[in-house]
This record gives sequence, C-alpha cells and structure tokens, in this order.
Amino acid sequence: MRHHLSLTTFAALALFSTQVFAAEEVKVAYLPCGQVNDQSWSQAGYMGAQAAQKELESAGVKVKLDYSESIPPAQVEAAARDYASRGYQVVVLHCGTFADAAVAAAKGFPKTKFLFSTRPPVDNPPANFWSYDIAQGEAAFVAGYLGALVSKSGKVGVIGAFDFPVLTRQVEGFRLGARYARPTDKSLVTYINSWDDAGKAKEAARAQIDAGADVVFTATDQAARGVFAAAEDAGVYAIASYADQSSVAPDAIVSNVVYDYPKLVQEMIVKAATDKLEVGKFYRFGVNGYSLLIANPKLAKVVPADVQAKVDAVMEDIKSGKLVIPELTTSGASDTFDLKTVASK
Amino acid sequence: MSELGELFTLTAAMAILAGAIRIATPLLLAALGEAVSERAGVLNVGIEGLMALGALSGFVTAYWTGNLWLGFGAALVAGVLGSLIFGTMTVLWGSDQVATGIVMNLFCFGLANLVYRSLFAGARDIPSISSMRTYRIPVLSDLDYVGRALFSHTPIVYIAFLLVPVVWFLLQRSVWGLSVRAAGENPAAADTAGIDVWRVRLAAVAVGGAFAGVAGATLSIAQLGSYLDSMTAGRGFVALAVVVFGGWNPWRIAGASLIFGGAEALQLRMQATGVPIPSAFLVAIPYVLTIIVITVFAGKAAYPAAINVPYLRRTIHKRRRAAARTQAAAPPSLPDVPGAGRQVVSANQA
Repeated sequence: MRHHLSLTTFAALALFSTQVFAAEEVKVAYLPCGQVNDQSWSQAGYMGAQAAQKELESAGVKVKLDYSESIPPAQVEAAARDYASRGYQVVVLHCGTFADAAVAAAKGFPKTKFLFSTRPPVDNPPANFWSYDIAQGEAAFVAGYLGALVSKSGKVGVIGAFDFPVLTRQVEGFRLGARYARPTDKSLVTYINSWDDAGKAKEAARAQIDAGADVVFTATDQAARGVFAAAEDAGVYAIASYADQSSVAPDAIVSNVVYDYPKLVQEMIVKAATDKLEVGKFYRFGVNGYSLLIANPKLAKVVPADVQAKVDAVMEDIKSGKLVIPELTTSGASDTFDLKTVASK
Repeated sequence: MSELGELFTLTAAMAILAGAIRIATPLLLAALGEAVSERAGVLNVGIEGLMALGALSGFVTAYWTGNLWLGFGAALVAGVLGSLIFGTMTVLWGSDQVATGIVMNLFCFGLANLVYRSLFAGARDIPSISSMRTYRIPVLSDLDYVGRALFSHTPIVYIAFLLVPVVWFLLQRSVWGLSVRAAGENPAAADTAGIDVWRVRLAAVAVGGAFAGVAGATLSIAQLGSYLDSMTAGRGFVALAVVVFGGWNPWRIAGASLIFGGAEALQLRMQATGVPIPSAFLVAIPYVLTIIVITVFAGKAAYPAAINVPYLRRTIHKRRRAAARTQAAAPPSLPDVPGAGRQVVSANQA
C-alpha cells in the first residue's frame, strides 16, 4: 500500500515536472461570438488564431489551440476562467459583448493574457488585458466617399444591423464620407435590428431606393443578401462589408469594405505568446494595412478614372494622417460633424 | 417637417402599401394555415420551424430543377411531413401542444441547417437562384397609383390573398370545416356525432403545415432567391399573433397581416426618409402594435374551446372520473363534458 502510494506521488511529480518543462507549449483559447465557420466575424478571428498557431510552430513553439463557440455573454466569464485555470496562457475573447466578462476574468488570473476585440471597456484595464481594434470608420468613410461620387441621384443609403457603437461607427463613417464628397446631400440610414433577416433588409433597401437612393451600403451579416437582391431588382448599386462578396451579386456590388481581422488576431496572439505586448497599449489600426476596399472588377466601368483617383487620394490622405476620420458612435453624428475638422493639416 | 411631408405624398403612400403587401404575404400564408389547425383544436407553435423547412426544401428543389413552382410544391410537402410528426405526437399521443411545438421548432431549425450544410458543403459562395419575377396583372396594373401598389407583385402574393376566401369557405361553409370546428370546440360531441376527431385534427394540422411550408418558400424563392439560416426571423411567431388578432377568421387574418406589414413598411420608410425619431423606436413599431392589438383584442378572443386539449378516449374517461370526484368533494360543479372549455384544462392541471 505504502509502495503504491509513493508510486502515485512519483507519477504525480513526474507529471508536474513535464508540465514545467513543456513551458515551450503555448495554450491558446479562442472564444468568439458565434461559430468558427460562420463565414463572418467569428471565422475571421479563428483564421487569425490558426495563422498564429502556424507562425509560432514554424518558429519552434508548440501551440495548442482550442475554442468554445457561441457562448452566451453571461457564461463567458466562467468559460474564460476555466481555460485560465487549466493553464492556458492566452485567452482571446473575440466578441464585443464579452467586455465585462473579459475584464473580470483578467482580474482573477493575472498571469494569463486576455485579448479582447474592440475598444477597451474600462479606463484602466488590468496589466494582463489588451484590446485590439480596427478603426472601421476609416474604410467606411472611403466607401461613403466613393458611393456618393458614383451616385447619380446624389442620395446614398446605409442599411445597418443594430444601432450600437461598433456598428454605428461604420454607418456614420460611411455617411460622413458621403457628406465629405457631397456636402449638401443628406444620406439615408435604416437599422433593421437583425443580423440575418434578409427579407427585412430587402424591404429596407427598397424603401431607401424608393426614396431616391441609388447606392446602398450594408453593414449587416447575412441580411446583406436582401440588400443585394433589392439593388439587383432596381438596377442600382450596393457596397458590401466584411468580405469580398462581388461574386454574390456581380451586377450590383461596386465595392467591398474589408477589415483584416485575421491579420490583427494573428499578430495579437503571436505577440502575446512571445511576450511582446506592451502593457496598457490599445492596439488599434485602420486603413493602414488593416482595412481596405476591394472593387468588383465586373463593375469597374461604374467608377470613372477621375473618381477612382479621388478615392485613392482620400485613402492615401487617411494613411498619411492628413485626413483624420473621427470615430462616430452615435446615430446621426455625421450629419452635424464639422467637416473642416476632418482635414487636420 | 419636410421629412414627414415626404411620407404623406401619394407616391410614398402607394410604395408603403406595396411594401405592406409584400411583408404581409408570408405572414398571411402561415397564419391562414395555423387558423385551420387551431380551429381543429391544435395550437401549432412550431410553424416557425416548419417555415424554415419549407424555405430550405423549396429553395433546394428550385435550385436543382430550375422550376420555382416545383420548389413551392416541395415546400408544401415538407411542411405537411413536418407537421405530421407534430400531429402524431400531439393528436395521436396526446402530448402537450405548446411544449411539442417548441421542440418542433428546434428540431426543424437543426434539421434544415444540417441538410443545407451537407448539401452545399464546401460551396464557396452561398448558392442562389434568380428569385420569382413580378407579374403585372394586365390592365389593372396600369391604373394610376394603386395599379403599381396592388397589381404588380410576384404570383405567390396573388395566390396568398386569393386563398383567403378559399380558406374562409373551407372553414365556414364546407362540411369538412364544420367537422374541423366541432373537433376544436367539443371533440367529444363531434365524436358522438360520428366525426373521426383524430383524422380531422391530423388533416387540419397537415393543412397548417402545408401553408407554413409555402410561407417559408415565399421567403427563399419569391423574396430572396437563396436560403439562409434563420431567414424566417420570427415570422412564424408573428403569424401566431396574427391568428389571435384575426380572431381565427381568414378575412380578419388578412387584415391583421396587412396591418403588421403596413406598420413595418411605414417604419422602414420613416427611417429611410430620415424622420428624426431614434431607429430603436421605429423598429419596434410593428411589434408594439401587435402587442397592443392583442392585449386589446385577445381578452375578447374566443379561442377554440378544446385548444391544447388532447382528445384521447382513455384520458377522457379518467378525467370524467376525476371531475366526478372533485364534484363530490367540492360542490361548485365543473362541466363534466370533457374538453368543453378551459376550466377542464385548469382543473386537470391543478
């Protein structure tokens, strides 16, 4: 019996020591809003996590990557704490509604690194907590500028999913860009309160087209299909978000606004695993390599060369800091924003 | 306010009317079928899921055959099959209709998504078809203003509205309708009169399923041209409310669908024209309206008396004995006719 016990102790010790020696293995937990194959937000982050795993492994670091999908915000803190207590060094919370859970879990596990998408939820986050974000308003601004110049009626519209800061900044960014191109024309905006109700999105787009819009920008998830369908029916143009969707509606989609979340998540995880994150830094990027417009080659004729040149110039000015795009997170803010303050120099 | 002025032009009003009709169509179809089912005493809260099944099978069939009408046919069949699973459990086995309906919703959504994924696994783009074309009714669609609003729609819209008198006739004027209503009001009496209550209820459930399936296909085939997860987006539940609001009467159900559709079309138009009201309020209008209307009307709404009361002879005898016992214990009498009113249900639950 005694012999048996010591054997167990020995085994436990052996196990412990291998864990210590296997510190080279980095364990990463990825917790998105939805499913890792949603062809959208959650998948983009997961692609980044997988790319990070590849990058680290090619540098000789073993990576164990696990994920938990579609956790309700109320249960995320428990899930994050569970990963941290099981020795995961990096926990990625890739969902805007996980903010409180992320901060609370980070406070409980100071040795685990917590990465959270979108803006810092509190003024002084714990030292083991980092926010990463793409200033989506920038690319949306360029899209709005392009849309307004392409428009014949002078009216452009936006169909947004929900009126909440991370989405509203895209909607208002687009509208500000449109106003920057045509200061006297007022753009239209409709929130449909759904990510995926394509039928409602189609009616919403139709109402805007009836009201004179001939370029409609969409900042929704699957519901975007309804916007494309309405644009196709009416023979007007659409601007898509989040992925190059030109092939979905080749005769309607002029351009696609794409935010490179895979790249950002990859860099964040690699930096976290190799201890290169700066304490207290908010990792925020924009059109400077993290968001771009992808044109639909089939509709290239819709965008005249002089318009394209203007759009490119605006893009360059934002990159160089000559134009500073504000982050407008309240609905309607672009209507009253002083256009002169956009140009900083 | 210029924004409001823009809303009240005749052209805008007609655009809103056209939108109301389009939005109302899937609601109307689902609600008409549900009314038949409920009149027979079977509350099917699973129509949201059946709509998803219809949306999927309709789209897939149309995608493969290139024929939209075959798509609608497949959606109808899928709706019937799905509803017969529900009917078997609730009508034949006597399971609780609400609980079974909720489970059916989950089952149908899971099934639809699974089938869709396995059929189109690895497809880079979401598969799509060109959706149903608008058919402008000759002469009528050339009328000023109302022509475009009323007579320039996809064929399924006309069919849905033409089905209103058909369902009305079926329920109110046909022999079958009489047995449906009897099965929903007093199944024991219907049974005594020689009506096969099970068969009538199952048939009514199947009719409800067929309508729900076609309603779902309206979304995928007529409106969008592709299938998306959760594209029904709660329309089945709105249809349930529409049935109550419409007092189980097809004409009033059509009116109720149009009111909901009109509220939705109006709020979308208000947002598009930039009416200075926060979008959160506008988006809620159709739902708030539905809630108000239901709280106002539902008090008076006379549910079919035997709704959610399974008709099982064995159970009925048991119930009758239980009622007799309660009667012996406490003098205030309970109706001893089984299934004749909600008191029986509550006495049973107590």
